[in-house]
Amino acid sequence: MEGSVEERMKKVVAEVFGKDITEISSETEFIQDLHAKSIDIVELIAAVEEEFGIPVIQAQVMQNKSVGMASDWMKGKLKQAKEQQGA
Amino acid sequence: MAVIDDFIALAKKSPKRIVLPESLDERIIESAATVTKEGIAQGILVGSETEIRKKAKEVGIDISGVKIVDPSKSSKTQTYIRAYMKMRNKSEAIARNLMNKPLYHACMMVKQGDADGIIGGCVHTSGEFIAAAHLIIGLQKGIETPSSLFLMDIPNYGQLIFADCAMNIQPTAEQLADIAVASANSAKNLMGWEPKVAMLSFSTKGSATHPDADKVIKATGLAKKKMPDLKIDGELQGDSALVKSTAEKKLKGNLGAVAGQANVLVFPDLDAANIAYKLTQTLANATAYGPILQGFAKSASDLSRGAKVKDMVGTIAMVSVIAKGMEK
Repeated sequence: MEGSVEERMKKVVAEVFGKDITEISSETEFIQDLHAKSIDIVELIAAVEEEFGIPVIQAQVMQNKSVGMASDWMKGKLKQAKEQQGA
Repeated sequence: MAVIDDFIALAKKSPKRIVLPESLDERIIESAATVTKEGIAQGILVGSETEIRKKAKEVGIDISGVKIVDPSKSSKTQTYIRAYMKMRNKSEAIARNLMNKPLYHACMMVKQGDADGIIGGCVHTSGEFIAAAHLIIGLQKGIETPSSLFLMDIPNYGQLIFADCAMNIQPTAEQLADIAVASANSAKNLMGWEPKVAMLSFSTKGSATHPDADKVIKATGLAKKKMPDLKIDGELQGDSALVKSTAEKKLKGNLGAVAGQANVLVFPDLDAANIAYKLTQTLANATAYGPILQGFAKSASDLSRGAKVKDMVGTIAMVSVIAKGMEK
């Protein structure tokens, strides 16, 4: 649970795509830069769920083209989850 | 007798273990119960046992005889996690996450030989189901692109396999070759046929010159390389593929083993394939069975999200017959 959402997302992406974390930036695009295929997306979702402890539905994340967009999306989900816990 | 009744009769001869991961869908529960009770297959529901039993009770379906595999309790889950980590060189966290989800657990059951075939896609999207099967079950040797077929039962004609009417929109020559090889395998496994594969085009043996016809010619050559014994010919027009007298004229007597007698039609793209199957249904009053997925290393097929229990039972029978054919 260490680090910012961006850093944690970069770590997860680097692991799934077999890259060094220094190769991943907020601008890195899943399809254009990482050549993500559908089977990579399956593993990415699994890794993201494990890292952030939030269930992810594939259809909801497909519009996130870059690592930065995925991080922003996750921030929103975490905020939502916190609000629901507090309610 | 409808073709589907033949498949059901064949499946009953040696019932296969068919795994159904979308186990909280009422239609899936009823299908599993029906195939198990009628001896068509051993239905296996994968998911939370408590929730499955609760749902079955709610909807009044007797699931005695149906096997339930609960990933959170199964003694095999740890084995599957290790198998996944080894297969994909990924972390335990990823493997554990996937092997605790019914869809991926079910695919691993098939991969590991604990089930003979899998059916899904009535709750998940086709894309999710195909990705799961691709990731875990994998593809047949020499094939890189999964595809699909329809078995067309045509009154006053007989049966033909059409491919790929549902998945690959604009296949490359390499993908078209994969579709041809997978369709040939399906013809053997599902129908027990000796496949005669026609690679369709608007041109017969150079009657027209166009890059689209060249793609089909290239695909025919690639498929021959992948499967040297395969009876395949192209590029052929539809009539050259199916009508002997026309083929004799257009091929100037040089018919070979396919022209005029093809039983597997591979269309150059999804436009042609989908239009052809819909027109055959509409104009020839044909029944289309499918789409059945093909190209996977084990028997796996997709269901439409609007599928009814009767369709699902038929698909389970077809997947069982293919699983039996793949054992040979």
